[in-house]
Amino acid sequence: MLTQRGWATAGAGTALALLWFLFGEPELGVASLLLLAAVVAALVWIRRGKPRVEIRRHTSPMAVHDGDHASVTLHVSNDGVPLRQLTVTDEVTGLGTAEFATASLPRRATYKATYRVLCRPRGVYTIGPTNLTVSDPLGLASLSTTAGRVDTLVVYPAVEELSGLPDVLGRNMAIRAHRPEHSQRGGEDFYTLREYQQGDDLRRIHWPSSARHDRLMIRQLEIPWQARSLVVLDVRAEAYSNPASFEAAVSGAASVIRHLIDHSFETQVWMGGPTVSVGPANSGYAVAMERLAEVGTQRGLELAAAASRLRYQGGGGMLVMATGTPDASLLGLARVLSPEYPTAALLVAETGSSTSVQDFQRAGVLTVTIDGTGSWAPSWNRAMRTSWHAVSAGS
Amino acid sequence: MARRLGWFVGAAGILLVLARLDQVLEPAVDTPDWRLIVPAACLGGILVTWATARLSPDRQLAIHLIALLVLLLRITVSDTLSFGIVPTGETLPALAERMAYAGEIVRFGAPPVLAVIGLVALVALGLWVVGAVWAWSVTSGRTWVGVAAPLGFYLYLAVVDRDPSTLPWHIAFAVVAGLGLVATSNAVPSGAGHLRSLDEKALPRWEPAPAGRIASVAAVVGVAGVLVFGGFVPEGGAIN
Repeated sequence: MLTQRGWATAGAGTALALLWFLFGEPELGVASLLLLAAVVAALVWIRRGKPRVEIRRHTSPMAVHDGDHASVTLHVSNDGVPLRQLTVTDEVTGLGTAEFATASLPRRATYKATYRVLCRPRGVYTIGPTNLTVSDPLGLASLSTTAGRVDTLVVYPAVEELSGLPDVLGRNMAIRAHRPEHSQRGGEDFYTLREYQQGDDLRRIHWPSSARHDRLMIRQLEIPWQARSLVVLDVRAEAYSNPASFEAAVSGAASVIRHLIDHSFETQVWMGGPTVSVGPANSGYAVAMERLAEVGTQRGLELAAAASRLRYQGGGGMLVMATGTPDASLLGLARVLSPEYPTAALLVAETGSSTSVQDFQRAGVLTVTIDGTGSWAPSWNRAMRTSWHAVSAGS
Repeated sequence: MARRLGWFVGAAGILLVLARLDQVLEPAVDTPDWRLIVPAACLGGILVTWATARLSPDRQLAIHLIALLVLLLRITVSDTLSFGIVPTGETLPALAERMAYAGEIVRFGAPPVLAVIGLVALVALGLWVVGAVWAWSVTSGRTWVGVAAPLGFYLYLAVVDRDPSTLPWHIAFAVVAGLGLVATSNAVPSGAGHLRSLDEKALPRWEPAPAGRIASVAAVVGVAGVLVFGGFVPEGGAIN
């Protein structure tokens, strides 16, 4: 109840009272009684009533990218007795504390306070509850309470503006279509089952359905009309020599996801757990970014098992892998997935791993190594320009 | 505002000390008037502190010690110094003799005492320190130090003064101490922002009036309490 200053004042008052008794000097008595009376008055003041304050918090936006700012506005409404020396403290856990003070808050008054938060690094942060401290005018006694709810601020990884994409199905100008097209000759996606006609490819006969219908049934395939991709973030702790390179890989994966969505890709994202589907028309982007905001490295993760699972899930299209130092396990994953994902790109967050990068290049994987400034965009853009089968951005 | 009030209260405390010194010291015929030397020493402490404010604490302390030594020699044994500042062989014995005499007066004298040269030097050193502390509190923002130092020195003088303090002294001290309480009451954290009204008007973080009202009550209780309860305290104190 008494503040540090209050205890010091009470102690000094008591000491002066003792000195007054020892030396008999009335001036010591004046000083002693003055200080002790101030402490008593402060305690009486603070016991008038517990503050009944309502806090409403508005955070805008609730989700930002690493390095952006969020604005938090607090509305402080007093429903109880008039308050003096009110200090309002709002903490964004891990990012900082904002403190505001006012000499008085009258009954039924509403005041507000606004502060900006520099959101860095990525993560999910809690804001609040707000701490309220009311003290007497001399600052000798205080009363603290909390109010308001706990909000969440999600800081997505930093993203960069990329340009250019490699040639993938659904984006190839030669076979590109704006709607599904079924082809007698080929295609990738199942479209329908129909009765066999003379001239159909016998390899496409669907025997279970043929047995059920007692006539030959053909699987009709279509050419994919929407480009698809799979983004794999390597979360194995062994792939990174330091936390900074993992952060770079996360940032690279996030940049690629946004770039792919901007270009209407249907994207699956894998970062060590279930895949997340991200498309231009769904809310998967936020889900994927929230997962990326929280993702951390894992020990003992087997990429081979993950590769089988990802291949079984299918999808096809373009494969993008983000890692620190590429190794044989990741190369094995690329090879397992290569039938479904004939176009592959590798983001390498650590320089100095040229030997293993060459293995990927020999396997036909487009490699993008982070540059000296820790930026992906220049390397990505250069790689897309120099790739012989790249198509221009925005096509 | 609280800081400026603190400067004012500290200065008022120094004036209170000088006024109380007038009760304790009587000018001696054969020594320079302390009423010139002591305020000048206080001013010296203030000026040296401000002049050295940008130096490191070690250097500040060293400069103050050198200045205090020069002050002590100039006041006490100026007649033994060559060129007015360089000590000679006679300086140390003369200094020891005069300071020993001043020490005896401090221990056994009953104020008001004659302001012999050694005593003037001791008081000048004390006021130099009080002035320096006040100036430091102004430059560093530690208001309470600049308020507490002169009031503490004043209480010491009140104790050594054998004449019991009268009501005007009580009231003067209570006013200065109460204002000191107000000046040091601004406990708003230094980095705290302002709350705003809904029409974006910034609201004050601290107001002196409520603190002043409580301090006034405390000051009245202090003075009245001594008048009411003074009879319960042994006259001359429990320590004789």
